[in-house]
Amino acid sequence: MKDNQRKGRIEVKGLKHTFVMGQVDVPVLHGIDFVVQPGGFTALCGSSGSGKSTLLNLIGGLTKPTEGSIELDGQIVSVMSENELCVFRRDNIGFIFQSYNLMPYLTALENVELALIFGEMPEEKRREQAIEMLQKVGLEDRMHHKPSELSGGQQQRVSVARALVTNPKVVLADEPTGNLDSQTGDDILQLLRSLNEKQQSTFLIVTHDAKIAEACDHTIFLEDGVIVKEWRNHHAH
Amino acid sequence: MRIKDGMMISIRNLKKRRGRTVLTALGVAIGTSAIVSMLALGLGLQKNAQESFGNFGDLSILDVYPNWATVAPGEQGYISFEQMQSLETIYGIDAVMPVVSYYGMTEMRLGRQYNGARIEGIDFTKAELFGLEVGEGRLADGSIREGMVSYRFPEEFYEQIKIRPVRGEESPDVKDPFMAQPYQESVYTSGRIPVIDKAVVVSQVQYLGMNETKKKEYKILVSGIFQENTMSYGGVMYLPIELVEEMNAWNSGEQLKGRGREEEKGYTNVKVKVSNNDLIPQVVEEIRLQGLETWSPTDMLEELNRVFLIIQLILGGIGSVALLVATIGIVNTMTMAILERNREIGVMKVLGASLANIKLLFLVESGIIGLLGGLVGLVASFGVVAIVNVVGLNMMQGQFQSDLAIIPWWLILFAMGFSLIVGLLAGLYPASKAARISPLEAIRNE
Repeated sequence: MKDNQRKGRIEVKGLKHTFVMGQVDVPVLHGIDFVVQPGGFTALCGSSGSGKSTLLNLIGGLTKPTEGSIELDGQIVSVMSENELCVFRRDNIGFIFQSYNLMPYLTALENVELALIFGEMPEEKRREQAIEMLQKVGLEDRMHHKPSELSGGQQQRVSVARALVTNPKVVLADEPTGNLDSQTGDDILQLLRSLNEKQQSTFLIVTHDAKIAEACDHTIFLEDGVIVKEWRNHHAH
Repeated sequence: MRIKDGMMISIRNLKKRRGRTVLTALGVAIGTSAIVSMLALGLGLQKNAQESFGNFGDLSILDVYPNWATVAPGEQGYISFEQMQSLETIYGIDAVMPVVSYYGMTEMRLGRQYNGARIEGIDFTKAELFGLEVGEGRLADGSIREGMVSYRFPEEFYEQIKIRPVRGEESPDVKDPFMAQPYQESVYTSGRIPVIDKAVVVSQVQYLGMNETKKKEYKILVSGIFQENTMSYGGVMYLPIELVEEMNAWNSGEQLKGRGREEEKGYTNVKVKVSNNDLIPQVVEEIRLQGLETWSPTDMLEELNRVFLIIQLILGGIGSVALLVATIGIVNTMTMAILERNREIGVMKVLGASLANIKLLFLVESGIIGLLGGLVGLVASFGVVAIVNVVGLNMMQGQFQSDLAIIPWWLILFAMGFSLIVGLLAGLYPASKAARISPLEAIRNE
């Protein structure tokens, strides 16, 4: 019963979001409904301005939707207060950004540890887990280097390790290969895929790269704030 | 987040901006040292003033006088025997002793040695309570034949030497009758003359006319010498009260009949011993309520403390202005840091840092700046105080008994605590500003 160990069922219902820019309201999402199965590897595709990044941020609890609901394994994210969202992100979500967003003055290891520092985990256990995670992404020999001493691909590996070290239910990646050449990008995609298998977390990847979309088992196409296409591949599982 | 981890992150952030941290802390240091130095100066001046009160002797011994306001002009006021008895009933008064000073002319002689000491009449049985302890010999028996002397008395003897002036050699014919007169010169005898068990001749002298004097002599056996104390200065001969009263009566031409004078008229001055220094203000008030007058240095001490409190408030206020400027400096530095670290704070919030976590990080930072400044400022103020003491004491030689400025231990604690609080207060606004930063900042500008 492999499915029972999987975590991170996402259900989005009637989601609408409008940015208020000064006096002007800019609607971005116009009513989105979809379900992501636990442990899924899903791509969110669309051209720039289609609202895919906004959708990702809403699911990750970085901001609150104007209307509609988001549920993660029964927790209703869309009604949480700011402090509840902080704890929610800490315990359930791992973020991977296009530009890595590592702390430049911390080593790879310290950057990974930072994701555990806001909990109450003891120092030794924190370090142990971070080292273990860095081994999983293949950076055991670069642990004590600062981001400026690492290549783009290595930096993204650190950020993958940081996102997964807390063993989150959902990993949200915003154009994870966008700053990388295609070979390195493929490697990162491979890594994400294999971690998805190992950790049984749900992965939701925003991309405009058709190659990534093909590699996923579930693809959602967004255009001007609505879902225009959605399909499931069955080649992976 | 654990406090220890928060501290670690904050310290790392401060180290990253070392120059700015040091400059900001320097502002706090200047403010702190200004306040501490000013307060130290105020405290030093106060201590000096208080120490000079030490010269008033034992604070627990009060002099009680008649209330001059109730006495007709030209009349001598007296404390009646009854009044003296009621003084003894006041809570806090351990003992009451009348003191009668002799106010006429005397001459004291021991062999060829003379002494110009004052005469005071006391009750020998109460002497010890009033700070007069026997140093050598024994306590006088209270009879009119015995007396005691102060510690300095044996040192103040002199001899009277008759000198016949030498005629001016240059003009032997000049006959100046005044120059030809022999005259007396007093030559102080060096060292202490033994007086115990010796009879000192005390003569009262009254001048009746041009060359007419009247004398009365008493032979007083010196039974002992009191220890040196702060109660009296110089040479004093202590005699029984009855004898001094008799001498005073002779002096003013009055006649004493039968009963002692004290029961007739009373005393001009009574000393009271207060059991506890804390009770002094209360006892002073009680004495005044009984219609008598007294004065204690503690009255003046209270007034002095009030004055010095005002001086310290003014001096501290001057220092506070410097610290206020430093506080604004911390707010400025921290606000700048937040602007620079917008993205970093965003990332931390994405990773799950709570509002309290972010606030803690910034409060620890500003608190450390404050504490660091306070520490440096404290070290600097020790330097300032040392300079003030060296330069100041040279300038005002002899005017001050101890250091001009002092830093007591509580001022050190106060300075450290104060600078920490200043740092934390200055960090409140930037910290809440930082906590409000949206996690979306992490993604912006990509």
